[in-house]
Amino acid sequence: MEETKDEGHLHPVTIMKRQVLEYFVENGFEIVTGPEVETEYYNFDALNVPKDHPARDMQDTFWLEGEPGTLLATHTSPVQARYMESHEPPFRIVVPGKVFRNEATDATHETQFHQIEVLVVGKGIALANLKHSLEGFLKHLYGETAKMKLRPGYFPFVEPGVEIDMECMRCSGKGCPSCKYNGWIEILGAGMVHPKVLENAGIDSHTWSGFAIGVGVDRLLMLRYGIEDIRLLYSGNLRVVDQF
Amino acid sequence: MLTSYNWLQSHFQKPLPSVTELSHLLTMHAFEIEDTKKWDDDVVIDVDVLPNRSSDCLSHWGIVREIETLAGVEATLPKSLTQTLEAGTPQTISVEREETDQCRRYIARVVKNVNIAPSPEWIQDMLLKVGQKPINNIVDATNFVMFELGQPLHAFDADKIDGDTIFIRYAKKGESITTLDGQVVELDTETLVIADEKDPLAIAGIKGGKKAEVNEKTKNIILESAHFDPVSVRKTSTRLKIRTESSKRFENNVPVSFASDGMGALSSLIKEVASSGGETQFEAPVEDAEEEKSPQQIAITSKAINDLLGSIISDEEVEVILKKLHFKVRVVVKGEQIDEGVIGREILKDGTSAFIVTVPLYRTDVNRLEDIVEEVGRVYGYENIEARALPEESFIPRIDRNVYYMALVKNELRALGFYEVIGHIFAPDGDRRVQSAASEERPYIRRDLRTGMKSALESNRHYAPLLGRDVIRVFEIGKVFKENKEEMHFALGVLDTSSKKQKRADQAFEEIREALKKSCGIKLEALPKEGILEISYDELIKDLPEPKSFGSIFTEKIDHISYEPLSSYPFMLRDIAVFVPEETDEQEIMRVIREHSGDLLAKTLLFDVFPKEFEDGTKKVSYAYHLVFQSYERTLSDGEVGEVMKNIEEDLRKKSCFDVR
Repeated sequence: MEETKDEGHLHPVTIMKRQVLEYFVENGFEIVTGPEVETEYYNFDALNVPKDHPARDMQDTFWLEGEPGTLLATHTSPVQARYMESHEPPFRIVVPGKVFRNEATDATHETQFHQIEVLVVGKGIALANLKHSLEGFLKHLYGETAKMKLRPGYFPFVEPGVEIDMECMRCSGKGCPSCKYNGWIEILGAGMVHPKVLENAGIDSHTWSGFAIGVGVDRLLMLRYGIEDIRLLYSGNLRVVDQF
Repeated sequence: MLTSYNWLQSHFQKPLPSVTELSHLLTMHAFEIEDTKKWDDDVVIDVDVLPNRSSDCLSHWGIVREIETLAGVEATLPKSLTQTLEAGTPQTISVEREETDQCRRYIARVVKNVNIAPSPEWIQDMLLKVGQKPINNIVDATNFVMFELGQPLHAFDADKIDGDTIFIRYAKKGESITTLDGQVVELDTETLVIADEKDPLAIAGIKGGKKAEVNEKTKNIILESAHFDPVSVRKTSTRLKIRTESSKRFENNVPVSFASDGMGALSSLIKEVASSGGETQFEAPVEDAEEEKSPQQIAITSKAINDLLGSIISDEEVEVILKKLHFKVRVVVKGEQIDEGVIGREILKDGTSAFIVTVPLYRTDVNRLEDIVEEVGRVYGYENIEARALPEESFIPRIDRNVYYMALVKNELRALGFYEVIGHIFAPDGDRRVQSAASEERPYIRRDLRTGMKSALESNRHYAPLLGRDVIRVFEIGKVFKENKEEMHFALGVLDTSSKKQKRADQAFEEIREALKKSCGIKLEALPKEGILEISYDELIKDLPEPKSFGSIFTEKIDHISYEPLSSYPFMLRDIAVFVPEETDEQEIMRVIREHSGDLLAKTLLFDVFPKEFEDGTKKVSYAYHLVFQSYERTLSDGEVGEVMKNIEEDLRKKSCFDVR
């Protein structure tokens, strides 16, 4: 244990966010932020999740009392929808934000957490480009030996949709408690932006295509440093912050 | 979704890949296998069927079809489900769909003289493996076929219904139903029910009623295989708070075409397991349905597929993959007339030839080019697509002023000894609140940062020694919520744990004012209240210029970070001070302290250093430390810590000229 110095400490979530932002800013991405209180339109409808869609079950929502059609953002994708509406492609943005889910809390679930989403829209953007960005990003975070694989996933705002698994760093894929003896850890979600989402934003899906990546900052943070309980991050516990 | 490996195998002539290999195949190309559990000589495989495939794949047959596609082996339905029946005897019932939008298809079939008995072993076995309780051969058969084909089915006792017509209608005001598990459910006019001429017999697609329950005494039954509108079932299921395997499937839009497959399979299975000699009679099914829709046709080219994936898949290979997916493929050439109903037909003008893909009716999730690209991509294998760098583009990223200055200010505050907190949005008080709060005590969204910050400071007061500080400095930059407004706020909090007067707290605020002015050009004029200063973030950075670039503002030194989970055991404090010769390296003292404390030393704070010249001319320096001891495994005793201190002091004294005070 080091003796104390005069320096203070930034929150581990900030430190993790910066590791992610650093990579994308270096690669010419623009940082965009958005509101924590969102409209139903940007949070769901614009993203191809209409009312009564079972996909709405994937995210339990906090609706605001006495404010119809208003909710706490369940993901950072609404910011992308807003940006796409007001900007012409090509563009590359990275969106950090606080998001909220109405779920029972436990060691790995909190009602508030952080996400970072990445969006690239351009001419001829393909899944191959998405792969390249994912590889570059994971290598930046975990080093040259980071290995990943893509498998089918589903999110309403992308098609094709993929889940990204990374080889467990602790056991090099052999299997250990950290990766539930799987050798691989599910770490990110991504996909090609659904043409409906582009069209909703007034972007011609025949000319332009894009990909999106979703990063769960708290999850990445907990996996990387072995933080035992996500609730420690938002309870003002300085003994956690002290270690960063 | 739980499946039985043996039951999947029973669809194939050739042996399936091992459980491990099969799991890998499905995970990489279709659905993640979440868990596998041994069950006698079988393995129960938990398949995470994706939401967009919950229409056609919430069944063994759905997984079987995927195995056909991915492993290239042909499957057939088990014999017990494909027996042909003789032409049915004349129908004695009729069906009336009063709500044709809510129920697009309804098939009913009377079966006379069934023999109610427990199901054979193999049916009970499969049902138990998927988490279902066996009841009797008729009820079990309906469940078995549902888990096999994905079509929910039901059976009524024909002799318990009034009249000979089945109505599909909305419930009337005041109607209620006693469901099969004995619950009395009040119905409303938005709930679709299956009814006889007097009473509701079932909540459509969700749960059956006791009135027409099939039990040991039943002789004649009516089978139901239907399609119910997914939105309607979902809303009713939520409203009545009843969720069943049946409602789950209907919510996900069971393909309309499944109804006849389900009825056929169910009839066959009942003939096999519930007949009474030659006396069992199957009447011809009665069907009331909309006109059958023709399958979707989508025009695609391999160019379009390769463009979106960034792959190089040949025409031939695309065709092979599409056929593996059970899609019908027809090649069309430029100039050929394409039917108006074909989706994406304008694609033909881009190239010389295209494919017209006919999508099976049960693939309700495939409606456009991108859906087909996903199908081809996943079968081809995403691992086979080579990564490709982003193209050069003319995009110039804007530097967001708020983001820039937030990072700058955070770095500055860190340098001044501040800890960053990220508070919770939910608060005991505020201007706005959420509808279903996670915590009853905190239904509001916070209107300031100071309320949360005050509690954070207080709750950390006790742990100040573990932080190695007696003055705790915190800050937060975060959103607060007022009537119709969302604002970013900046707050600083200082707590001097060593004095009630908070003298050092005031000093801390002055330090910050000076430092922020010097390093960032920020004029922080606001005054703290009760140790906390809060202003709007816009106010804080209002006079600052537009930043030109982020530079390396986000670069963090992370190599030193090594997190240890927090100990929940109490800590103990000890002080030690020692005079050492002037030229001594302070690290020597620390080394001795650490050596004897081992794992128990949680934190040290060097709180006092001063030189002293003694009478005899020797020059020494005094170092004084607060030491914090804590264990992960137990509460430390006075004796234990005392022992450690004794050893430290002895060792320090051994060094010539070290003088422990």
